[in-house]
Amino acid sequence: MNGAAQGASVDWAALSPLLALAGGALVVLMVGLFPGRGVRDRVVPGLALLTLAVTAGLLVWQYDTSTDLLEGALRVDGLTVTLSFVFVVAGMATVVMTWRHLDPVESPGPELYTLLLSSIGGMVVLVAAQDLVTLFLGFELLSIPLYVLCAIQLRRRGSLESGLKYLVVGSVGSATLVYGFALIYGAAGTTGFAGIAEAISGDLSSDVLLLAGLALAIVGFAFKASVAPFHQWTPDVYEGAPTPITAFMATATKAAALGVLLRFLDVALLPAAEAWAPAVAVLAAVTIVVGNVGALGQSSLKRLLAWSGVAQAGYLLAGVVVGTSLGVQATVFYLAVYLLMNMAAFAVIAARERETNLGDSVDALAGLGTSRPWLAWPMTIAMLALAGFPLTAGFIGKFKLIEASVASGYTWVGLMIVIGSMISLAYYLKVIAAMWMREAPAGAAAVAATGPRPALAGASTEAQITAPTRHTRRGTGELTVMAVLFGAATLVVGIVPQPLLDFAAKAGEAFPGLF
Amino acid sequence: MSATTLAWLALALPLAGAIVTALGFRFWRGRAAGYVGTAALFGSFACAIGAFFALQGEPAEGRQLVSALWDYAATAGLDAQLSILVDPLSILMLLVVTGVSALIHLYAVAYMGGDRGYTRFFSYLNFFVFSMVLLVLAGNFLVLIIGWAFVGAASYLLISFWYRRATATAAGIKAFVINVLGDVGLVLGAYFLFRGTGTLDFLTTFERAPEVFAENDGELVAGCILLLVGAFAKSAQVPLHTWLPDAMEGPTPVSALIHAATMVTAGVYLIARMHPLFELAPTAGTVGAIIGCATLLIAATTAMAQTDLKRVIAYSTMSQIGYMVMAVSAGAYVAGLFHLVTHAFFKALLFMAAGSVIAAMAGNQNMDRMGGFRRAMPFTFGCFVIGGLALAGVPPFSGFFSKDEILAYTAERGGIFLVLVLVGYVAAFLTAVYTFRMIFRTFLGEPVPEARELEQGHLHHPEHPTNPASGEIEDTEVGFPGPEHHVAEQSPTMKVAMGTLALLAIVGGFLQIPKVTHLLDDFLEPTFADSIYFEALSPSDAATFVGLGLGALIALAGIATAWLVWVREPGTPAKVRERLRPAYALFVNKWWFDELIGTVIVRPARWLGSFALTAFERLFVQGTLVGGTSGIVRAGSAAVRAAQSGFLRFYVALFLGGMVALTIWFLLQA
Amino acid sequence: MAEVLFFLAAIGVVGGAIGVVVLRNPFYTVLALVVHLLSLAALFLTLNAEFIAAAQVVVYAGAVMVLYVFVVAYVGGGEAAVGSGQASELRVLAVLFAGALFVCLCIATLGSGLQAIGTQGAEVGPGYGTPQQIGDLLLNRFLLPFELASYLLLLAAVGAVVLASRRRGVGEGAEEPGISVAQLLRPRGTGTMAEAVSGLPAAQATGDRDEREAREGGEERDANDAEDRPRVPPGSPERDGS
Repeated sequence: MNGAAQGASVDWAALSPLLALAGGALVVLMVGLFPGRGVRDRVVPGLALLTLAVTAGLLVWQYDTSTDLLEGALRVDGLTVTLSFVFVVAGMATVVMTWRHLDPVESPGPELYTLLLSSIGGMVVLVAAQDLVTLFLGFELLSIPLYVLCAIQLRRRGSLESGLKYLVVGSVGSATLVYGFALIYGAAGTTGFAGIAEAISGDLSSDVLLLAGLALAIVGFAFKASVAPFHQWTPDVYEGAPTPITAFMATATKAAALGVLLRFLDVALLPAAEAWAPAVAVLAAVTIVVGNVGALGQSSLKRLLAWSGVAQAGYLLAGVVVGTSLGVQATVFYLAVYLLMNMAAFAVIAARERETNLGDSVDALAGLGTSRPWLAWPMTIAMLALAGFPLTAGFIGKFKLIEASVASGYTWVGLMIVIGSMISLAYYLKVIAAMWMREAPAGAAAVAATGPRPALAGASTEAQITAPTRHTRRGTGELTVMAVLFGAATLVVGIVPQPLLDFAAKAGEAFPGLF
Repeated sequence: MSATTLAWLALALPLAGAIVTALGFRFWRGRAAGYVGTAALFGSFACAIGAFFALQGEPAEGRQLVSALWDYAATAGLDAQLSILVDPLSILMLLVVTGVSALIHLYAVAYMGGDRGYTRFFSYLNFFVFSMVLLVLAGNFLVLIIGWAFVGAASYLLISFWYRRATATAAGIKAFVINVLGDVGLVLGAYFLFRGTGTLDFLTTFERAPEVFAENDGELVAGCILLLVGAFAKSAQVPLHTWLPDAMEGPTPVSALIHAATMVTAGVYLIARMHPLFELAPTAGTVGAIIGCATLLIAATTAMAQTDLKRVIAYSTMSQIGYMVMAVSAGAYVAGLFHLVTHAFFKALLFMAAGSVIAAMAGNQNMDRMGGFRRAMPFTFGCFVIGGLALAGVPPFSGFFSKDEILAYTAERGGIFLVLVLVGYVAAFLTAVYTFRMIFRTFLGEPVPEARELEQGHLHHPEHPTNPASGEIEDTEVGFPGPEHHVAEQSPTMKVAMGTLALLAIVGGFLQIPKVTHLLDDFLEPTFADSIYFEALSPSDAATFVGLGLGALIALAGIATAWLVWVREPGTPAKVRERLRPAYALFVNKWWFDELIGTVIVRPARWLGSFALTAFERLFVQGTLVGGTSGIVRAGSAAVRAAQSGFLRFYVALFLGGMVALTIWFLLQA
Repeated sequence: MAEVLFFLAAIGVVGGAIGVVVLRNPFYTVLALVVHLLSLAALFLTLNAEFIAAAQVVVYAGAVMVLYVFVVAYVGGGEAAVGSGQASELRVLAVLFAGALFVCLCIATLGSGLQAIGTQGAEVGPGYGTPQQIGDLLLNRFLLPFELASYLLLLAAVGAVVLASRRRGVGEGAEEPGISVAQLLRPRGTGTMAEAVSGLPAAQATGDRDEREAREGGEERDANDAEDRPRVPPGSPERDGS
């Protein structure tokens, strides 16, 4: 750059998935401005799905790419591509779940999809980032839409509360992260990952400034991945957010947070592994315990899955700690599997929320085994898989994580995973028992058809207009199909895991420094 | 067809049966599902026999065949395949499991005939047999663990079969929890071994173990003891036995199949299968033998004081499995497996006969209310006596030979094992006593009204069915026992099943008459050829005959005692009870194991759970409610208040706390 | 001289930041923020970043803060002091944690900070901090972050609009009003020049409103809702006044 105006060279092909997402988000936003129910109910979700499908197609096209983009701001490699697939699938599932989930009078429509697509874009940036600046922007691009999405159900106080809590605690997390980055930059003198790694290999590995920055940065990421003790927002936010958004957060956000941890710790900070690995291992163990204990005795399914998500974050951290390509593979595999299991479960929860007036309580599932076997089976499979039952994908996932931790001398972390899975059986089985062994509560199947809509949460008084009574009974066909698809995938991956393992191994290959 | 193909078929048929019965639940009419399930089992048994002959056709050194269906997860140094191991041991187990299962299915076709969950029952039962066959055929630890877990799940389903019965579901959950504990032991044990040997395959593990582990190597002993934990949980050995008596809440065919003949012997099979490892870790073997011995005594004494017919048999099962565990842990593999085979015959027979009596009592299992069924149910009586004689160890019934072989071979180890054998003889006496206590109290004496009714050719049915355990009123819809009951006297299929087993209970012992026949020894030789005890343990002629004589005497003495106490002098039990009050209290309360587990494990766990609930949840929930309902608030201000109501502060405070801790840690690294 | 400027500015930065958090009156809080931002600009000056310092003053201390002041003055809020002031048992704990964190960060930063104090800082080449160099960086090395940041701002705006829609309510009837092309061409009652001159034809506006209500209510709303007070169409002046 000799001062003359000269554009940066851009590898448009490698950048295309990200561009598709951003462009799609804007198109959705613009199209959403047209009036009419059809636009809102069909065109916009259709466009969102189309955007995701195009992104997936471009990812397939870029499957074997391994290149730096835009002056080292991003890196499109195996990890980026595999995790982007996870985000895209999660996004598709979320669009399907959202499609008829939120009443038009309860939430704005088109903007929702814009925010969703942008958030996915943020995730892609996050896991591809190779530079602290890009990383932070990706982090925010992922978070800010989510804050809004949590609060998007305007007639539920819980939704607003969820969004607000997420915003406040999330801001603390972001602030911590950026403070940590500042210290790391101060110590290393560069924001690029390669530069940082080089500086640490030099003489910085025990520099206080760097280590303090590292601590703060890890806290910031741990917050996003709901790792204890930075997890406390998780149950509240998951419970309050609309179910499709909860599903999205549980799967995609988790994948993004773990993905960035993989790249950040295992590339930029690998030379300082001696310093961070034991600490992260302890965090993993604490998280496993806290998450599993917290999940006991929950009667709200979303809360239960939130706590279980905390515990699973602990399992996943084990794959990060070890700093081997086997660990990367195990983590990515588990993230993909986690997506399958959780989406099956959330589809069932969302379906029951529409069919009954019991919300996401465990009671809503009672008697499901006889009344709706096509919902009960996916839920059963999902619960068993989350608990790590053999012949399900969850088993293979846990097995790989344990294998990875044992292979690198973190046997005790592997042991914690086993113990955590044992505890987790208690609450997963409770859900299964409710479905198969309890009678459906009388009259629960009828949606409450009387009473005015609740007021808009947080609105000024003049906007509190009594809305028409609710009497729309929205179908659950697409949710059943989705639950069955994801449930079946969970089972198939559990029996024939090799293709997915190969897929995840691609992520492991992205780290040349690991063995 | 080769032995492995037939073994795969034997595995596939019960699975197919389970699926077919389950999928066809809408159009199976009458007993069709039962016949389908039974046919699948007989087919499986036929395949097992075929596999037996095919295997015998191989040369002796080539009788360990491994067959893999496909690689399960062939990644980074992990040889997890869906593979089975066909050798004499697994074929023996396969024959017992499929054979006894087929007969019990046949029995259940009639016995469960009145139940509303008929199809479901046979689907579960077939699934159980599939899991059990998977377990015994497993060629590596992964398949073993899967079979192990499946068997536990099937057992849970079947114990809780009458799922509207609170006592049955509670028993099912208890069994499942303890079994899961065993699964953890098994998984961890397998992991320890895997860490040393780097393979999951059984044969490769056995090959590499001596190279990797020194004798009594710490890790190997730990791994073996963890395997034992798995074996103990599944085989109801002290202190993980409390689920088995409660499991008697399930239907009687289930008790006969799972909780007597097959599943509970899985622990014995596991130890026998892992014998090369246990021989490398003699400490673990000794631990197993001692636990088995403790169990056989504790269970036998407890059985003396129980009044529930099926629970007495359940405790006797525990006691007999204690013998087997002791035997295989001590290196008397063939003796232990021999007892496993004969026990499967006579114990299944006893359960079937007991089931017939219970049906005549319209579901009631309390011996205090029984009596005088001898004339009403001659066939059942005959079967019960045959089973009882075999259990008590009266010559020439099968139990006599197998039990004595165990004691004789174990005594050969000397040292502490002599003490164990002594305990074994004491328990043998108790066995004879409680067995005949059962027989005398149930079949002799004044006929109870139900027996009289049956003598008229009419089966008693209560007006309002109740739960015999808790007295709650029930109906006869699905989830509770059905409206009809079936006794052997009125059902040919039950008679066939029981008659076959009675015959086997009589002649089963002739497989291994000391110094005369040694069919089982010869057959199992290829599996145990590498054992250091297989040849070494061989009691002298004198010891053998003294043991046989002693065993026969003890059995007869026990029967005589029972006759004296319960028939000749009916007031004696009360007197004895009076005199030995503390001992009686100990036995009738089952040595207080439930209470012990409750205090040591359940209560702290519950406390932890409730603490977590109060500390993490209730504070916030209550706080939210208080914050939300204080007066009429505008929604907006309420939202703001929710944000400021202190919870977030708490969150952020903890966040800060974690941050401080992490930062300090990192600073210390510098 | 540079040292003196640094310490003065640093005190201003820290003091301003503390003021933002501690002061209860929103107006003073905003003023404290202005002090903070101005001091920050001074710090940029000591770092040879004249352009950034100027931009800081113009954009933040100037435009943004003026907006803040307007908002505070317009919305008021002076009477309801921010922060509940309730003492909480957590407060002690929080102070403790924050103190500990402060000590930790001091340990981390003081070492290198003290080292740097006697030096002149990093060498800077000619042309450092000029608009040209900054533009070059933004369009080359930091192209992606630059674009991302702009996209992020757009999203934040969309999000704010979404959340603000709770003020007017969403889709009260079967048909969400939305924006039709006709409305885009000539938004009614939003204060166009033409309306300012000729005045808003009141009858027409009311008629319009009724018409729309009839259209929306015809399908779904039942008789009970007849008593609803007339709803306020989005963008009408009535709403802004309240």
